[in-house]
Amino acid sequence: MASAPPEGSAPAPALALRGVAKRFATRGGTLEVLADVDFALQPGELVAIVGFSGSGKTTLLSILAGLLQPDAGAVEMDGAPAGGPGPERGVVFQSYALLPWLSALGNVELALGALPRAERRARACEILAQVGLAAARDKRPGELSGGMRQRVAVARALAPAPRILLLDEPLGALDALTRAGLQREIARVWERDRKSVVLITNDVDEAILLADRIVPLTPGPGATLGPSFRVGLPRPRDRAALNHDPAFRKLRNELTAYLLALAARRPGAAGGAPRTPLPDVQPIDLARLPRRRA
Amino acid sequence: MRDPRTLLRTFGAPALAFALFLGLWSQAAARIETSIGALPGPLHVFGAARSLLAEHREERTKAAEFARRMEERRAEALAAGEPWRDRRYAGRPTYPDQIATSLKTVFTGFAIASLVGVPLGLLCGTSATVYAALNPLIQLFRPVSPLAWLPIVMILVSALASSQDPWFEKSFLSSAITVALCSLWPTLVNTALGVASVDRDHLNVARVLRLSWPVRIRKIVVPSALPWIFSGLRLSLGVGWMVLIAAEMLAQNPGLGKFVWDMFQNGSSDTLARIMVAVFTIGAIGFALDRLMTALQRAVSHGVRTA
Amino acid sequence: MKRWGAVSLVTWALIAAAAAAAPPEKDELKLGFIKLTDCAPLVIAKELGFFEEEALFVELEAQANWKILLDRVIAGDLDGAHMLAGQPIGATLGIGTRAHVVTSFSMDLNGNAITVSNAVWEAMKRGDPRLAEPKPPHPISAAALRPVVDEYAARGEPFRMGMVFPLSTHNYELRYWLAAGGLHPGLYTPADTTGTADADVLISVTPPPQMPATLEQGTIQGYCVGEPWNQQAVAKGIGVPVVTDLEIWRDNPEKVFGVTSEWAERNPETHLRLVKALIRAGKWLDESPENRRQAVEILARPEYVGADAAVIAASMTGSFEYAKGDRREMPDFNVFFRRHATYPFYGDGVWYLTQMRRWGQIAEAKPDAWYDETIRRVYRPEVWRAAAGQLVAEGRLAPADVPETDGYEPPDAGFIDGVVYDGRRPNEYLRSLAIGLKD
Repeated sequence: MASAPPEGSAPAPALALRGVAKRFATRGGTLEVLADVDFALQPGELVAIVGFSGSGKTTLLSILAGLLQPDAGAVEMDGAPAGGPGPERGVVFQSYALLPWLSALGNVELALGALPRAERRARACEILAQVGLAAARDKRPGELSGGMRQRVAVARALAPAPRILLLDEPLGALDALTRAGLQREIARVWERDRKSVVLITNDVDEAILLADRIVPLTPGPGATLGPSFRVGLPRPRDRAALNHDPAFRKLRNELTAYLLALAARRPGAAGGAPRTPLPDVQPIDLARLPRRRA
Repeated sequence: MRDPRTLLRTFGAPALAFALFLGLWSQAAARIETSIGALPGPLHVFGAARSLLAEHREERTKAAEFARRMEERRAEALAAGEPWRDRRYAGRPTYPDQIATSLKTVFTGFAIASLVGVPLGLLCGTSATVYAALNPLIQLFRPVSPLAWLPIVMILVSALASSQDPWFEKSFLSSAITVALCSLWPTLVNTALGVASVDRDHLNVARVLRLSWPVRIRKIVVPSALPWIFSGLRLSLGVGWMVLIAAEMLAQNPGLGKFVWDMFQNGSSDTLARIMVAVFTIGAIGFALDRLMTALQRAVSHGVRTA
Repeated sequence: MKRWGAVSLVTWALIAAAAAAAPPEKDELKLGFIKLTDCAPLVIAKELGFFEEEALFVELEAQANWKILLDRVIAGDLDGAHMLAGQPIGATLGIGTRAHVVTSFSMDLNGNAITVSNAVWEAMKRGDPRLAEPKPPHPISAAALRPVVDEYAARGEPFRMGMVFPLSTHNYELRYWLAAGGLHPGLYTPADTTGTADADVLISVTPPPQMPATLEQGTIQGYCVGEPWNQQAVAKGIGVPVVTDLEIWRDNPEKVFGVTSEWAERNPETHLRLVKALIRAGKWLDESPENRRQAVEILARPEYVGADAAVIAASMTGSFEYAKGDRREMPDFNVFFRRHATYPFYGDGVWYLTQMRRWGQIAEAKPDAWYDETIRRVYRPEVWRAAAGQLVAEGRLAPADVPETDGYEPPDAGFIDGVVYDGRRPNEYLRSLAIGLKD
């Protein structure tokens, strides 16, 4: 629900969606997945979008990345219409999408195609070292653990030095311990470069831990973005310490309550499909049936 | 150290089955009489195999003698200042020669089929329009038997090929092209399928990284589709080997197919035994080829399971 | 390749002399043959070194069937081949594949027989008690087959017989024999190319190796083919030869050595040398029974005819076996050289033309002059004479072996039905035959 900045006063948002809608044709008719989505990502900001499963998060991210074009509305990058996908909008997919026949190094080098060979190799090694995978450079994804694969995916997305990074539930497939470790990594990486990042997640704690701003996605169909929740907690944020922080707990409760309320309202939520009309049937009371005339 | 039970199952069971098969065969052979003679039993067939090898050795000896005489004659001619031309030994192809010819032909046909099938399959898999256009033709030509293609191929080859080079011998070309025409389809269809099955996320990665079309094909589409392509190639080689024997019989390519037909034309008491040697040879080679392709397929499958 | 010992220096000297005389245009040749015993001249010429003595290096390759053999000669895959006497004629006329094929060497006379299944033979014996004797009188006319054909017709079953190729000597001999016995073998019409119009007996093409099997199964009731397939049927007990083609027409031309006319024009010296070697081979084959026995041994090898030696010997060594146990003296079952067997007489070729016309393969009536012109395009005795002349000069041939003739032999009465054939008057001949087209 962020509005457009006043003319000429502030820099244009790194990435913005204005009135975006996306429909898909299904067997039962047209399904509107996203309706009237407004969103702005300020430069250097880390925004987390939280939502329910199946609400259209991946669709939203695809539109943000330029992989899908919206049916209505506009996508803007730095104030100008954004075109198709490109390395300046780095993406980390939910399934990592690493090429299993290339080593970790090979996967990262793929993102550096423009460079000459020697430079490409050097830069790829550097990035892998930054995400802590120098030792596993020549291993294939099949030989890496989930967490390591995730890091390779991040390294690949970071390799072309994008200004915008889009992360689609990057830690969803990992166990809680690994997830905690990687959350720290992501925070660290972001702090170093201050890229503009959109993080999609279903974990409220994760969102609060990492983001400057949290935007909920209402449940579908016809999902839109709810009001932003600002996260004022100072960085660096330590998970263990946060658990005792009252501001953290308050924010978490607010967010959770809001999301639960959304869930409760789900049938007939904004712009949803009409309810199935039930026939008006009264049960027959056999005791009251008129007797047959003898 | 494998446990004895697994060993017994892996080696003992097939050995037992084979022994049973040999036993049944020799029993049946003793009882069945045909118009060309009794059905040959395992010993008779083994004997026929040995005589084929003996004939091969004999023929090689004759060839060596011929070469020696040619050498003598050549020396004499050069000494006398006469012109000389090297002569080819005009002997007949022996059984191992025929096996070699068959293998050469099937691999040539297979190479042609792969060179046509893989690129076409890549095209069909990447472009839905091309696939829609070609699919009816593919379905139409796929079931056609080699025996139906062969006369057409032979006439075309006769009309178009005119070189005397042994690589362009008409019977060889006709057989190889017929093998290619019949074995092309599994490769084409499987390649298209493999390309169409490329993970959507991988393609998205290509889009995000703005990989150029050639790089996309080379680094993402082809490696992803490789297990499928090899699966198709394996099926193609199998089909090609079967088609080859039929094609050779009619095109008169001096390989195993011609061997079988020639033996049949002899109608001698050795005929059936020799044909059975050919049957076992054809089966053994087909099996070996399939194993070869399976190993190759596994090597490129990087853990992916395909049909 | 010579089998017996190393080639002596003398032979090499001969080769050198031969090569030096007028060198052959092409000396590495591939010739085709079909696995029938009358490919013998080709095989002997190779195995005994006659080709090599003419400085020719010849590879012999067995072919799958007559059609493929002809196609490969026309296409140039084979330099020349063992052909049915009717093939060069038919091809030049355009019956089937059209190509100008010529011949200068007749490979043999006679050599075929007609075999019927055991069931048909039993039926024939029922119809004519003389056939039931241990040594029935030969030749057996097709009239003895008539009651059997009628029996089949009464049952509503067709009576089928097989031969090897529409232009084969077997086709014409079978038809002649049937017609001479009053049975109609069918006509070829523009509408019906199977040759079964108006037929009492349905004649179709069957490849020789499959003939015994189809006879056994009852798909055909008889067939006309060369050796070893008739003696094979006797040996395996599945059929009985009833008549040999030398009884149908004494000394009939059977196989020729055919090449395309372009090949003959491009390689005249090679052609001449081939014919020389073949004439020598033919002479050797008819020289003595010992030579015949040797020939049988060679032909029995799997790369040549391949049948069991005993079966081949049954017809090639001076006798022929009819019903099992009924062996008759028949030194002329195969004639490779005697009585000018190797000379390509025009009259022989014209007989085939008349039969092609008789049964409708030639669609329209033709004047006598046409027959003469046509056969002169196909049969080339000039090359034979040149070859024979050189052989006489070399002392390998007696002058008496060279016939004095204009290509036509005197009128021939050696047919089973006694009808006289004069090659100079083909239309008159056609009119004198009872069944078939009359002009």
